[in-house]
Amino acid sequence: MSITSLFDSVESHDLAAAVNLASSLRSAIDNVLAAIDVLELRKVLKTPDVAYRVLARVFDLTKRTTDVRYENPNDVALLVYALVLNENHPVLAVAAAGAICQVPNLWWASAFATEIIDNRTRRNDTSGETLTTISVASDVVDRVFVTDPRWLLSPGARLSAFSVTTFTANDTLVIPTPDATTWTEEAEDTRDLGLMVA
Amino acid sequence: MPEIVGLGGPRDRAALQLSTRLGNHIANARRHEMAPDARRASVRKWASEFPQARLRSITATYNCFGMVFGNRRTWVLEEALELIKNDDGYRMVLTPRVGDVAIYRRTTDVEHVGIVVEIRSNVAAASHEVLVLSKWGAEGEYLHREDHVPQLLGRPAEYWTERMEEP
Repeated sequence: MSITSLFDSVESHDLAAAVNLASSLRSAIDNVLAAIDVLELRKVLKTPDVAYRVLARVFDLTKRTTDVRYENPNDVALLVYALVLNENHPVLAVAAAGAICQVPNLWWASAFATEIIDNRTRRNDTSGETLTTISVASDVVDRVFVTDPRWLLSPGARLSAFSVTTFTANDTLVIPTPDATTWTEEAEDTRDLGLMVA
Repeated sequence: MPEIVGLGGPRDRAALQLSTRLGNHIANARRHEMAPDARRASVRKWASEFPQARLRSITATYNCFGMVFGNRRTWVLEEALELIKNDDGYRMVLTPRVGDVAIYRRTTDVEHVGIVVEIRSNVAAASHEVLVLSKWGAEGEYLHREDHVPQLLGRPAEYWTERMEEP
C-alpha cells in the first residue's frame, strides 16, 4: 500500500469512528494500534524518509482551517501520526506534538501531545538536557506554553527536510537546509524550544 | 499557546463543577461536538455493523461515564471512576435490576459502562436477556442487548448498584 493510501485510511471516517469508541486515552491508543492500516504505517515508518513525510503531514493538517464550532476533523489522524512517530522517532514526535498543541478543538491528539511533551519535560528535568519544546510559566503550576515548531520549516526547506539522516547525541534534531538557522532561547524563568536547523 | 496540564481538574476552565456525594471533584472535560458529516458517517457505520442497536442520540459531548455518572452533561474522565464508585456507594451485584450499571472490560480496566433498562426473562431457555442504554465513546448513544456492542468496548463483566434496600 502506498503512503498516500495509508494517509487516506488514517484520515478516514471509518478509523475515526473506531478510535472514538474510546472513553479514555488509554483505550483510544489501544483502538489505534488494533487498526490494520496503522500496523502497516508502523512498518513503513521505520525508514527516515517516511517518518519525515508523516511529520510534514502533521504540519499540513495542523495548518488547515476548520469549522471552529466543531471538533477538528483531523483529531484521530493527528493522534495516529504522533503515536507512530513516538515509537521510533521521538525527536520528530516532539516536533509533531508542538504543532498539535497549537491547534484548537482537538481531543485525543492534544491529550497525547501533552503526554509526549510532559515526558520530555521530565526527562529534561532529570538529565540536564537543554532541548525542550516548552516553557513553564513561573507564576502558575498548571500552564505550559508550547512553541510552534512549524515556523522552522519554510515550504522550500521542508522538502529538504525529508533527507534528514542525523540525530546528534543530545537528541537535537538536525535538518540540512540551504539557509542554516539556529534558534534557542533562555527567557527569564522559562525554557523554550531549541530545535536546530543546520 | 494552550493550557494543556490539569485537564479535567477543578481549575480546568473546560470542566464542570461536578462532585461525588461526598463532595469530591469528578474529573471531567467538555468535548467539542463532532461536525455533522462526521456524525452522519458514524451513524451509518454502526447501523450497518450493529443493526439491532437502536440509536437514541448522536453527540460527542459526553461519553459513557458522562452519561451514567454526569447526567449527559460532560465527558467524565476514566480516572474519576474509582472515586465515584467509592464516594457514591456503588457495590458489585451478581443479579442486575433495572437502573443498575453494566460494567464492560477488555482486560482489567473498565472500558465501558451502561445503564440496565430492561431485563427480559426467557423461561424456555432458563435465562434472561439484559437490555442496556449506553454511550459508545464519542459516537452514538444506543439501546442494545448487553453483549451487542463493538468488540473495542469490551465484554459485559459485572454490574454495580448504589440502590438501598427497604429497611
